[in-house]
Amino acid sequence: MTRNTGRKTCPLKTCPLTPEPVDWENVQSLIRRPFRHWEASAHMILTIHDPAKARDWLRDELIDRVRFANEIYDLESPDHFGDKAGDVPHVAIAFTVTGLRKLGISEDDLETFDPAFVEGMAPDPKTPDTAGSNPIRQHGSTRRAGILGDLHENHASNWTWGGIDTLPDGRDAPDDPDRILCDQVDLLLMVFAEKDNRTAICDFIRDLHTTDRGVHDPLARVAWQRGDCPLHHQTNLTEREHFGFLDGLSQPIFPDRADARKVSARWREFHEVRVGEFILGYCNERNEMPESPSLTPEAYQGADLPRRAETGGAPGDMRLDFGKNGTYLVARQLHQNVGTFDGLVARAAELIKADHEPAPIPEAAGLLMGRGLDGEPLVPDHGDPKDAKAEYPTYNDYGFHQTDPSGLLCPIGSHVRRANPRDSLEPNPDAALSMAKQHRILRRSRIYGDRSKRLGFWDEDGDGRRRMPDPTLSPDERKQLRDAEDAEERGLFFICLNTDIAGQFEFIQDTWLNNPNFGDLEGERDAILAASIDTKVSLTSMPFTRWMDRNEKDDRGDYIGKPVVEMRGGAYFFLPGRHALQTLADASTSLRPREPDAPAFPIQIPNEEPTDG
Amino acid sequence: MLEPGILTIVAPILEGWKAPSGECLTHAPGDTSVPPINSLTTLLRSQMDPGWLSYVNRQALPPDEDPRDGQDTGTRQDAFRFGQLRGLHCCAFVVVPGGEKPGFLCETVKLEACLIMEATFDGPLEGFLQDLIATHSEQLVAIFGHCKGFPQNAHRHPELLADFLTRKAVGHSTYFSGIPGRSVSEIKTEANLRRKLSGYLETKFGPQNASGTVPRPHAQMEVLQNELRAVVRSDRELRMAEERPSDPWSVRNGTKVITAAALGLAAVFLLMAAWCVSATGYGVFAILAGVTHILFADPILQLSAIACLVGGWGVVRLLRWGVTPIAHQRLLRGKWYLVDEILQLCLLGIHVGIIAFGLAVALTYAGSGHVLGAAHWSVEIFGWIAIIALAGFVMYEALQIRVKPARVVEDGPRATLASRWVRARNQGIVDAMDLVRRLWCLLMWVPLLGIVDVILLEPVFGRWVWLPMALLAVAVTGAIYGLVAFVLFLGIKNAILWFASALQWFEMRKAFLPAETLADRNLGHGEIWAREEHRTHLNQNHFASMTLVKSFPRMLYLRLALWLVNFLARYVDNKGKLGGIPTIFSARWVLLDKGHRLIFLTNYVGAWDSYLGEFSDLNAYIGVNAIWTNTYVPLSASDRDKLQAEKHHRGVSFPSSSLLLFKGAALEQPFKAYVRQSQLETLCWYGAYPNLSVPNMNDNSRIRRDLFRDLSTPERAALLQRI
Repeated sequence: MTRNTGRKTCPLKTCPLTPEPVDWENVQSLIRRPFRHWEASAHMILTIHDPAKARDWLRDELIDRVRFANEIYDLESPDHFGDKAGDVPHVAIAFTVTGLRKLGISEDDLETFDPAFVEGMAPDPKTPDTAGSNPIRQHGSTRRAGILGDLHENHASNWTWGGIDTLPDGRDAPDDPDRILCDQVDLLLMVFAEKDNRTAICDFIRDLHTTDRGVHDPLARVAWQRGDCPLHHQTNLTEREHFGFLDGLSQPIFPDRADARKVSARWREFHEVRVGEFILGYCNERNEMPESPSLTPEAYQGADLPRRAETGGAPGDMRLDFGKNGTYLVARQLHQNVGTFDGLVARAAELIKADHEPAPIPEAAGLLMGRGLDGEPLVPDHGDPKDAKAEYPTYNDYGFHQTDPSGLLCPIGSHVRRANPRDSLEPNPDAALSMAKQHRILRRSRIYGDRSKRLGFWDEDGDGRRRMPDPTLSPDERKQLRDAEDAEERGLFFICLNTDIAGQFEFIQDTWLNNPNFGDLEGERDAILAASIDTKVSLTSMPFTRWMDRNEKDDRGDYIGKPVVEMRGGAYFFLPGRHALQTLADASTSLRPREPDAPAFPIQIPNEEPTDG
Repeated sequence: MLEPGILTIVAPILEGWKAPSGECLTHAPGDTSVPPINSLTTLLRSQMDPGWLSYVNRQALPPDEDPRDGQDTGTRQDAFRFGQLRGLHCCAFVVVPGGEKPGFLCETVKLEACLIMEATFDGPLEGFLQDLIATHSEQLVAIFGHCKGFPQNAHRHPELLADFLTRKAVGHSTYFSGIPGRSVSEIKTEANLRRKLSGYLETKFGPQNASGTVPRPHAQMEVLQNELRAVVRSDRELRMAEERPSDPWSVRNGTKVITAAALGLAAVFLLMAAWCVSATGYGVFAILAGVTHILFADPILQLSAIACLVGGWGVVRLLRWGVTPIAHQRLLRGKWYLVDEILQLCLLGIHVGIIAFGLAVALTYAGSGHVLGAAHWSVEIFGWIAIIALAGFVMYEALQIRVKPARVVEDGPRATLASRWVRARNQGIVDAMDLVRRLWCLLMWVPLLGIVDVILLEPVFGRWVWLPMALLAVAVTGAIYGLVAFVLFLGIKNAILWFASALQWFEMRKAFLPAETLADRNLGHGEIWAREEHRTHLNQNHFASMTLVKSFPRMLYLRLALWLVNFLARYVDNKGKLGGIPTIFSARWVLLDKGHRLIFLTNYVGAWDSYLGEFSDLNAYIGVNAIWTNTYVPLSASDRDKLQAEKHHRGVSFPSSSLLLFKGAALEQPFKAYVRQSQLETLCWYGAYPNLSVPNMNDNSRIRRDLFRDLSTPERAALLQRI
């Protein structure tokens, strides 16, 4: 081999103890801020059919619209881009492994990416492996499904996009023209605009469909031909998700001065996480450099990328660091069954109510979720609310260890406590907190679909007050109402950012959320994420009533065995930094021919305006 | 309860298969394509207990089937039915590929491909083998028929089969059990116990019977405990729980063994100290005489000694004032703090010595004008100063022991065994530090006692005055020996570690690629990652890995480390956690081929990633380093190309550790990459408890234990909470 580098010495990665300054001007601003003031958005799943054209489009148009984090000019009121904003929608862009492959990244280079990313969220069991027909390879698909909990109705063969066409038992799934398989998902394009500027987003989408840019939107092809904009193209940033809970409250904060000075010391103790957990090329909580993907220097001469030797690799490693200032992005479209959740809460309220008192509906919802409807912690151990500044609407600097070690107030199996157990796990609070910090994620979720007007806990358009279930309805009417609400397409477009998919997102999903033995529990499931066959869901850790049986019918005969949240699609993406993005756009190597099955352009678009959500 | 039966059978597989990449063995699963192994792996894959197919063999059944206890869905009659073996906790089959390995002196060590069967069971080995052969002789013949030396007519003569298996059974170098001393039926009964008790409480206090409120006062809880006892007594299935569980010998006597070991070690070092001291020409009696001389000497000398000591002590205190050890550590990282400390103390000693010398000379001149006597006294004073320095050193070492914060909720409902242990240990450390401080004070006031002797002792004791003085002299001499022994211990320990790290550095440069290169480039990730877990929604998992052992001095280190870890696992970490990891059901290390290969087999709870993460985040990483740092993984030819390995590279080494104990496994990503590379596919595996985690089992045991004991109120509350 020719590119033998000086690897004879032991490459000890060194991490400075003080946080290093982040190169914000090369980091996509989605990482730093959730675009809180850009409420309207679209999340598009694109397929590349002509890599050369796609590259031109990327270079000539798209890169100018990508916002980088240094452009956030006023950190005190986040997400204001000021004069730089202009009126064009802003974008953030991320690629799947197939997308990178089509844009010319070689297999050799792809091996340096996070293995979970390369394998994908729903690995296709039919994909031939490098070793040929190795039976073990076929387990890759089911293994990841097991880790992520994508089983039963959430199995990847049921997804609208990003899934596979093989049923869990190995048979082929029935053909579905609306289903977009994992090998067609190349690119995630996130478009953001101000709340009243949704037309800009629609224009952007329309433009993408009428001109051949080398990419097309297979989901939209079906939907636009039917005459409507697909729901998941229109996402919103709202305070509350569809069940009525305040969402996105507990975010890690960077040890960046501008970010950290806004919160109290105690808050920082709980949520200050080193940048390397979220951006490649910096030190993480373990005081190591996260493994960063790299490119062969010979194939990318002239690329403006640092060498691995300069960014924490082995001394003398001349490979180009493709990951610096980028990160991995996990996207999952989660359908929310508002009716089922309503039934589940009603049942839980029956179970915990005291004598001769009305069933405590909001309290029951809070116990299932692990936080109150307004995000209030269930444990009294929180700091001064005055510490909470505008960006952090409710206090968040609480732990479980001192006030509630055994889950009497906030159930151990509740969703939020599972997702971030803070200082409550073994062996002691300090170690638990520092270990929990190794598994934090940045959440950038948005909701799609219209809010339920008949069920749920929050009436946004009305008087903004909490709504209770109507007690006058008969059981049948309630059931019909719930089924109707379940059928509505609405949910959460879950997005999170991390540098180690297996160690962060998948760890949370597998070891905490879906773990039936989490925190010394026995066989309990998270009520929000349980699949239909999981009957034993966590309710409360009060003595003797630790779980509820979902299949037991309540006195009104409600069946609540349906899952509360269903997967509609998902994939792992790579969100590149500025230089990596430019390298992708400029790369003149290994241009691939036009895909044979690419659709003809322009795609037929009906005349009427798309529905404006 | 007896110690668990542990069986590891290692049987070399028949010829006909050799490592594809001539120079180096590999275990990429794609390479095992030549007949005997191939047919064996296929056979083993098909040998899964049908009742377990749904959990383990993901080809055969949909992955989203949840494990259920006692389920037997299989129809195949020829497969293993592990569930029939009553006392079997877990069992697994792994095929270890063979190959070659460079030895110590340029010779080549041939390694044979082996079939490994691992089993943990109750009762004696003979009984288990008898059971196994009686129920599964056909399957055993089919499987072990692939192995060398398998008796031709074993299918007709079960005693030949038994003989073969017994011959091939190897011991284990290190074994840890997360549930020491519980039999299969006990674990199942305890789980059942908890289920039934919680069901009873549910019906009593649940929503159907809303008038019941949770009892709080002491008396109510006692009544409730009695009710629960009655539930157990009336239930035939639960009868067994009434018996008090008995722990194995190693658990009951762990503390005693450890104390004895510590005392033995101390004795060894004291002997060494005695030898060192006598080598300088001063025997015990000479030192005794010296001490006595000082004690009985003139009051002036004693006064000056006191002045030195108080002054020295004051200076040490001033230096330490406001400097907590942690802050000090932050100031100076790494091993430099030791050097710094010694330098500081030497400086202090010199200062105090000069003062003392001047003082002594002045006093002498003031007294008698006898120059020789003054010189003699100052030498004596220097001796004391040396003791000050030593004592300061000991003090500093004691301060370095950081006391971990005890759990805040101490008598709350979940005062677990672990928290009690932490508390006890903290108390122990605090006590030890106190002892050191007291010794220090005692040493300081010895000369004062000398004065007391002159003024008080003689009038009080009369002619028996020699008795307290002699005792004092013996104590002081003992203290001197103790200090010398401690310094010797520190010196020897550090010398060994520094030697080891020098060796490691040299070796790393010469023969191995660092594991960091593996983490940078994920080799054949698809296949290797697929080996990680044998589960979907399953709580228990199996993990097997094979590594090659580095040559000569490291082999000895490895054996020492294995022995030490085994010792600690048996007598210290025998309460469900190994180095703080609560999720290990069983773990064993086995050396093969006279110590050239190291096999690690474990049954654990949870996900691969979280399990390995615990190895690198919790204290266990030190033990892991001590063992695995002596190993490396070989590379296949294609992997060598990808990693740009040069000819002299034998493989990929364990992540670089410092002093053979630190870093290493704590470097998470290289560690995981290394483990992934070394992992073997578990071809066939059975565990008896698909739904229970190790903490669950230990919780259930605690419920059983506490239910029939008289408890205090908080303990009772904890018991009810646990249910």
